Amino acid sequence: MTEEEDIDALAAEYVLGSLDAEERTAVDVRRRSDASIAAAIENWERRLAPLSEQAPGVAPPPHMFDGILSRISKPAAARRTAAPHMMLKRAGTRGGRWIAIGATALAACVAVAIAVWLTHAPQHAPSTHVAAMDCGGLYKDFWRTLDRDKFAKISAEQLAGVSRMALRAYDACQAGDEPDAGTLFGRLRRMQF
Amino acid sequence: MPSPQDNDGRCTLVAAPGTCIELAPSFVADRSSPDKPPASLRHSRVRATSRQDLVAALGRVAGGDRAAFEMVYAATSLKLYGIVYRILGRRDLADEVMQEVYVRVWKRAGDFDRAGASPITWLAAIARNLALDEARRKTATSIEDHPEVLQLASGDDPSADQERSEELRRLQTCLDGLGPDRREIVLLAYHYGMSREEISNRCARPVATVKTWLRRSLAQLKDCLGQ
Repeated sequence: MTEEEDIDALAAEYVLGSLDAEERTAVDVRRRSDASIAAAIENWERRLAPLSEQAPGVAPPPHMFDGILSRISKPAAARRTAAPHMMLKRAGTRGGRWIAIGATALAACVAVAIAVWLTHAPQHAPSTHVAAMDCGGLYKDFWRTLDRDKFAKISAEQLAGVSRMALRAYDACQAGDEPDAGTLFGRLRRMQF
Repeated sequence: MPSPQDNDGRCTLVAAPGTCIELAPSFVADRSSPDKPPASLRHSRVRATSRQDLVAALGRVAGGDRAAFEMVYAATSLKLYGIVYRILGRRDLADEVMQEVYVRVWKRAGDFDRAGASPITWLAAIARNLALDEARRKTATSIEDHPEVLQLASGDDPSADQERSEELRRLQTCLDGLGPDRREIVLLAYHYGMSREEISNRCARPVATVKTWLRRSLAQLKDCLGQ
């Protein structure tokens, strides 16, 4: 199989949905810097798109659009005060270099970064919605349930996914979207590693 | 369990309960399922909105027009929720992903290429990608736990056949050319987001065999479509 055929086959399976989590993440990363696979993905999305016509329409819950409006209406200030974004972005960048060395080293690195943030979080946590929901407390409580052994066991991709979800929960909480924040924090608490 | 047999690289699946073929009759045989979801959950298609209207609305969404955003939601949410729910099989997860889909549409409407893909193709790709990402996370439950999702029929509207696009008919013709077993695994992956491993378990075939079949099938589809 030529390299071009290999890229096309990978793009086809990516669009089809049959790749596992690790392969999917790898393609996601690659498509950002590799125009050939990005183009192959677009072509396969177009080829297979007619199948979406077969999807049965299912009514979303009535409150869905209100929830979406709530999320897109977040005040810019609330987004800017989401200090954990910056901390974990730095952790993610540093982790990217560690991925080449090994996922275990990355996990330890991110754990340290999170620990540093936990130490400083109270100073950054805005108080607007704390009275109704302790956003910083909920966020920290989740990370406290994970010890170093657990970090070492999960993959870098899983850790990144968990971090994203935790940040989404924190952001929703800060924006006053308690139903959304409650749902996300609930899911985080139920996670098993 | 059926006793599949290899014949020149092809798998002959016995259509018995528990086999691939029995699990998704509407997509394999393209016929109505006897087990339809409640009427309140079924809608036959995207709410009537022309492609031009959607393209124009997405352009306005890119400029921050909330009325246009609501119009896009009204026109496409039934279809996109159906896509997401079928892959995830759980309302709570589907709800979360749907919110993320439209937040992304709001933020990235400016990325939509008017001269390129159709708006529904662009939107469906966003919905499918987010749903597949969620399905691959550890927290997502297996589709095995939600057999009701497999019973959501696409063929529950008698007029659907007449209204299917020419592109879909071409694609279906090419899918038919794969043979029932390979057509099945392609559709299981596309409609339900099943990974190779899940298909392997479902069809009692080694993962490597499933991978080979998928890749050969996709290459054959590409040739057949001539694109």
